[in-house]
Amino acid sequence: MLQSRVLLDVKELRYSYGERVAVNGASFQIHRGEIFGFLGPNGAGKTTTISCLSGLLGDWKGELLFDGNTFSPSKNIDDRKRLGTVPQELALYEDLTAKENLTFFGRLNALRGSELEQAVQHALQIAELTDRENSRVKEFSGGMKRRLNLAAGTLHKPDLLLLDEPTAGVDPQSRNHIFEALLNLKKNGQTLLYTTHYMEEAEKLCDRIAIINEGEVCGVGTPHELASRAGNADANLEEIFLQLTGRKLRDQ
Amino acid sequence: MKTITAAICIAAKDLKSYFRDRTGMLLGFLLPIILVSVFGLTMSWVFGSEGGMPKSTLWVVDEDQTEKSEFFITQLRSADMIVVRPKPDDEARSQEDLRQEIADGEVHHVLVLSRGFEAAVAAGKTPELIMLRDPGREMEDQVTRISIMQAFMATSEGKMWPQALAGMMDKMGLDDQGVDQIMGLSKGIQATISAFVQSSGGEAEEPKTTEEAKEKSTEGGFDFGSFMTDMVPLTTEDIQPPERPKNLSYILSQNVAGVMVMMLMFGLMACSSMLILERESGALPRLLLAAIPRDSILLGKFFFAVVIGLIQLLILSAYGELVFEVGLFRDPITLIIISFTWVLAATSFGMLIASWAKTTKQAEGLSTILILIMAALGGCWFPIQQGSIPWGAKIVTHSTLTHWAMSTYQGMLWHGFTWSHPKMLVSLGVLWGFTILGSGVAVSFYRKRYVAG
Repeated sequence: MLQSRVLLDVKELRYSYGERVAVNGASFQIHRGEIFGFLGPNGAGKTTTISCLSGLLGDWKGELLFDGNTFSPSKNIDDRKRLGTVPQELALYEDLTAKENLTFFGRLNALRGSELEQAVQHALQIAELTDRENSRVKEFSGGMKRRLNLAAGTLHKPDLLLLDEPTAGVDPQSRNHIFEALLNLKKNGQTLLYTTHYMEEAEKLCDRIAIINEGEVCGVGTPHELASRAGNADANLEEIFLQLTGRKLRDQ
Repeated sequence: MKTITAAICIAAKDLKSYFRDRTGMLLGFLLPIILVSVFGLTMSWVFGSEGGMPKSTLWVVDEDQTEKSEFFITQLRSADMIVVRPKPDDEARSQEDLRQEIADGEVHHVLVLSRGFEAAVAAGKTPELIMLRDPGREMEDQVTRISIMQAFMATSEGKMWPQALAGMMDKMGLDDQGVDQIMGLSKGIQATISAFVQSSGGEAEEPKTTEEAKEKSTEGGFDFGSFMTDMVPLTTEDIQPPERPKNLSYILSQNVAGVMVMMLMFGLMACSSMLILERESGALPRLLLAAIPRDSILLGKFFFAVVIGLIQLLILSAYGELVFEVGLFRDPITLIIISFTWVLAATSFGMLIASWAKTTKQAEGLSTILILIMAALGGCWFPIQQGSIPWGAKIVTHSTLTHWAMSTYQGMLWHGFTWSHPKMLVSLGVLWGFTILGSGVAVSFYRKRYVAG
């Protein structure tokens, strides 16, 4: 049976923090093997959407289909296994070594024995930290920590890797390394959902992009499709973004 | 910006942040007020409202059952430093019962007024007063003897002090001739006083010495307290539970138990902010999104705290035994059971705070307040168990975790109970009950605060 092109189908996703509506009927599809960019101004609902998809928030409304099946990672451990997450914060233990961190997170994702050992070595290669595997994380630079943070999310070879601004606060060299790592993952068939503020990153990395504004998805497509829809095929992503979301400051 | 201006600016920022966490701030400000109140309250329970010595409980067996013996007991009841049991309306206890209670460590001093008490006092003779005591309760011994002396002098209307003085001198090793001289001199003084106050003179009788052994040493200088209390013709009989080490006093056992109970709670205070620190480090979302049941995160923290707590107790026990030789390891199974139970209960308490608190400041503030309050009310600092406290206060002290933990350690150390003794089972049961209840509430808070859906 042929696999569907759609890996994750998000339909009419809604989430409120009390009276305040954070996500208001967002709908989009993530295709298998692509890097899907998720853009939006501050407070637009990006992190809330990612939290609903990853299972950090559970009482959302709408429908999530993963491979055509109902998806509820907040309640279902098997659904969580299909996801890898790279949170914006450095989700690492500073007193543990790089290898100990990866081994710990690998175990939590059901890896054991030689499979775990291989996954850890592979993750260390992705992070280019093989020679520092026994160094404590607190001795690492910000860029090294970011790379390790990314590698920890890929350990169990998830079907979908969720990345929430993985390049925040890193130098150009580390950022470039992360880009290369992500493109390598994509080359190996990994599907990625990439959230960022940097338009040039999204333009460079993402096959398709969703722009979210005030809790609603106001545009989905390739950068070229978005530009065409905006009525200016030559516009860059930043111009499209400002056209779709407006120029008013959102986090005042 | 100049140094002072910059410093004020930084202080203003810190104050703003501090006051923004209102719960944490309140806990911080309330801490000294609560502590002062709890200290004052416990001190007044233990030491009495006048702030003197702790009131000691003296059980009395009246075998004479005469007006004079009742008068003596009434005089004892009016003493400030002791509480006399049984209460006037309560049923009398037999000497045998109370001997067993001393052997069990439940009662420490029993005064027996033998038959012939009234007759002896009327005849100006020394009545037979037997003191059954737990030799480990030295602190209460002196207080009890002073009270008995006061009651004795009041009952004999001051007429028996020559005999008492002579008897005491005899005990101290004075030869018979010297004793006779003291007796003669005392009688002379007594006759002068009697004539002066125009009261009826006491007929002189041959002095009777107490049966107490004469080997008591007079070395080490003159002790006025002992000098006075030794004037009371008391026959002392020590009753000691066989399992208790010789060098273990009640106060020492209370201190050892108190330190073990309180220090464990302080040690586990760190676990009250574990979840918050995990969240602040950013690792908690990754744990919550891992392919594991989410309750296992809280359970993992619980296991960690239990292991640390057990190590702490092991180190404390080993050190206590090495330095004080209090017999902590004489019943290893009981020690393991009560230590394990106490670690579980204290850890549940830590997890309860961890899952409730929203900030590190809240967690640390609340746990500090509760630990100190429970330590004071549970008897870790003061021997609150020995005081005669009102029933309302008993409810308060019994509602603390520390009270039940202290009961188990005191039960093992002082009373020599094994884990299967009914009293130990009750205390262990309460601690297990709290462990289950506390953990249940902690899980409920944790799910609400940290786990979605």
